[in-house]
Amino acid sequence: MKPPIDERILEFRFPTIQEKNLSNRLTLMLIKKPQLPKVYLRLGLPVGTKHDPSEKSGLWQLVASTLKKGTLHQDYYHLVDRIEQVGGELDVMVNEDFFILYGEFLQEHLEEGLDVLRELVLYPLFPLMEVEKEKFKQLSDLENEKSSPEFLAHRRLEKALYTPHPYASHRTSQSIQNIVRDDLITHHQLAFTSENSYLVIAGKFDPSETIRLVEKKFCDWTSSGWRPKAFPAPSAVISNEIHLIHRPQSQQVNILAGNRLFYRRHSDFEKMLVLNKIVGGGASSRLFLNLREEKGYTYGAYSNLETYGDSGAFVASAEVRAEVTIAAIEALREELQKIQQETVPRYELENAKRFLMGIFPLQNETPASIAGLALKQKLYGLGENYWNQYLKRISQVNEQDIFEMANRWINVNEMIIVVVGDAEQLLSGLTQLGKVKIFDTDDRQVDGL
Amino acid sequence: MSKDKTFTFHTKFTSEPEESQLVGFRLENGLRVLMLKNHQAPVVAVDLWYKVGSKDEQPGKSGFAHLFEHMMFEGSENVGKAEHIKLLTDVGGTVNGSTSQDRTNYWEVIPANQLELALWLEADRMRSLKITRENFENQRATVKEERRLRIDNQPYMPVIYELKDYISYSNFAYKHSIMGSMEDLDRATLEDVKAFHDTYYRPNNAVMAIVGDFQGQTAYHWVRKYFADIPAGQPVPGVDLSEPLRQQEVRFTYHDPFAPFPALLISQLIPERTHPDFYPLELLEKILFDGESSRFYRKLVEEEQLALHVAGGQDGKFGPGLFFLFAQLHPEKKISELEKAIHSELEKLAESRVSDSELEKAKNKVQADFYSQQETVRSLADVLCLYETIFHQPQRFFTELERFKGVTTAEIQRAAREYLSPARRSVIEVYPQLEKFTQ
Repeated sequence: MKPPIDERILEFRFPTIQEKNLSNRLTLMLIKKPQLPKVYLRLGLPVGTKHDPSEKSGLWQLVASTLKKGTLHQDYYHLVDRIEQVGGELDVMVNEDFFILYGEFLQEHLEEGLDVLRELVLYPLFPLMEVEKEKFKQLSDLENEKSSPEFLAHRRLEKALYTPHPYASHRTSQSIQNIVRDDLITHHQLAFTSENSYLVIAGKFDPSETIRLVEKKFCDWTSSGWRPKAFPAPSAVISNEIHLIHRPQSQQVNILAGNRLFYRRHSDFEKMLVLNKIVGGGASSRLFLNLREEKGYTYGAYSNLETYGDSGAFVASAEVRAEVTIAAIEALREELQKIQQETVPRYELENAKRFLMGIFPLQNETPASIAGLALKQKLYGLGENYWNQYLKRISQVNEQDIFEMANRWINVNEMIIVVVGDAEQLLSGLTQLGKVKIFDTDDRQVDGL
Repeated sequence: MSKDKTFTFHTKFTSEPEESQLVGFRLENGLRVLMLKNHQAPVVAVDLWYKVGSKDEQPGKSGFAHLFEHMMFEGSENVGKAEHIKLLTDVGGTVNGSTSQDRTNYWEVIPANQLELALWLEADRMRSLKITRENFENQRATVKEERRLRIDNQPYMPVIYELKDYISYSNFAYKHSIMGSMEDLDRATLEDVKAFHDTYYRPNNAVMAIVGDFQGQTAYHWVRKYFADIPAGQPVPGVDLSEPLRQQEVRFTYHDPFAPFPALLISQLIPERTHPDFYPLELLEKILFDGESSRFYRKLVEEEQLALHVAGGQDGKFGPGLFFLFAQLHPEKKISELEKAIHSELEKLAESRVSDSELEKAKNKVQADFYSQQETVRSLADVLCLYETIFHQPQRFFTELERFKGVTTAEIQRAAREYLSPARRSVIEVYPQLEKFTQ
């Protein structure tokens, strides 16, 4: 019996955003999705961990984790109580490129949410005791990170791919210890600027009342005139190296293989996204079908585009038992060579495009996810009406594009391969594949075992 | 609340349901189908719950329910190996399954025009599986890698996912691991797969929720077309989940090869999910663990700095559940100090009532959760299946807030006294294998 598939692709338009530039040059974006009596807040600022001073890696993470720890008008406990007493949430995160405050409140508590947001943005005190406490926590987090094989693999890959760009930098115990409270105060004052910042409010609210409220709450937030500096581009990757991280007693082997790619707003992004779906973007992609369903090496084998503001990478990954490590790396390389050498069959291309277009409404189901995409569009500078353009661009990708992308951006002979596991089991096999550099879990290169 | 008890499963389609109106149908073979129209986005979720989990496994066959879940993606009468996922993702859908101690579910979230495909696929594998020995061996290897990935190669995970249950329960049903041991996985046979499908994967042991953007009459027509002729099975054998109360606390020490710091896991035996004390215990969870103003976070992490991280809450099950805490020790402190502080917080709850404002905060958090559960069609489908499976009252979910509203500070205190006592307690002390810390 034939599966009952509806061949139509439903048309989907990204929700309308009401945009308002406030007098202090903060951009307010309103998205009405009134199904539930809730509001979702996202405030994005164009500053991230790449802006850490090199000897003080971890600084912006420390700003994020101490921002709630007390303001000019209220101490930490009062602030947290105000948020949580009404069943709200307001948290802070920072990534490589951006600093984001995000939260959600019942509709009737929108003003309370904005009040606390204003406190955090304009008046944080970074109390000395709290800063020291957080520094200690971050030092402990370093140990927790080191116990994760996924973290070890990604840290090594990023160092190998992005140096000397700060995407290669990771906090260390020394860099955390170098940070003092004044660093937090000065960096906050400089980079928390209303200009180039975006406040998204999605959910159920009255638009004109909300604009009035935001104007009132944030009118004394001004622009410092700060402009993020440009960073050195990552240098050329040394070809075909295997970086082996010795993690004693590992029960499994983590494999990452990466090529450097472009930044997020690059015009090849959508074409590479289609290529990625074909190669390893899901459970019906080639890597998964080969390494898991055919060979049973792994629970999952995938590829991914990891694109940031200034650069990015194409990364393939699998976690396998030690005895099939070499075979898994070879299978992974073969799949990547295949996409470079053979034209992708039409049905496979069309299915990949259909997946990416079909899944887009699913990714936009909630006000929170729509708010996230709206913010992404602004922060990455993707251009007006980007998300509708995105669907159109995917629909236009053809076989020739995939062939060109594979040969422009994937280079199997210049991939950095990172392997995390018990090196005593792995070293001799890996040396058959190429030059092996060994690292310990502190990411220090070691001469041998 | 009386309306909770009057939910009717219809045997025929009579009129098109309104937006947000929950309707139910029961086919002749016993399959229960729940439908809820919600036009927030042009998507629809199908969620199919089979009332079988690791609790139904026999000693020597641990991990089989989960291994079987993998086999459901390996082919059926009209669907080849791995085609189930491919057909759905090729049209832009997402799909997965999960196995718990109590139930196994399979779900799809798809563009609104692909509901028929999802129903056809679910019906095909409910009707019969078509699995080769080669595919079975392939998935046995895959599940072993899943075990290594999620448990064996990660810090603290053997404690959280396996030892917690092993030490908390004496009844095999909940005591053993969902993922199963490597030895038991090796023991599973292809014949076991067929017997398991025949016993548990029958329409009379399942409930299916369809939530999202669809037309009721058309959906009903497809459900009948694809599911109605699947034969019912024998009534499913029940499992004894009873758990004798112990006289005293049970303790265990575990040396973890990957843990950077010592840690403590404490679990308390609580009643089954349908017990009325679920409500005060849920509010206790909010008071103790939810957010930076929660009692344990504030005391253990912020004020006394005894722990780096603390998490926990109520794990409600079809049978006796657990209320648990996991805390990672601050490197300059001792496990005994941490444990003492935890006990003193628990005693405080038994000795004096929480404040009105603390209870109000907990209720507000429950209300926020209630809305979060309705944010996506998939999470809504999941709670409807849960409420039908355990209460046989799917509509009960929509009146849950009323039950929380009635809970008083006195009831919280009574629940704390009753369920957080030492006789219900199991404790696991975790130490890094390469001993860096002197206790």
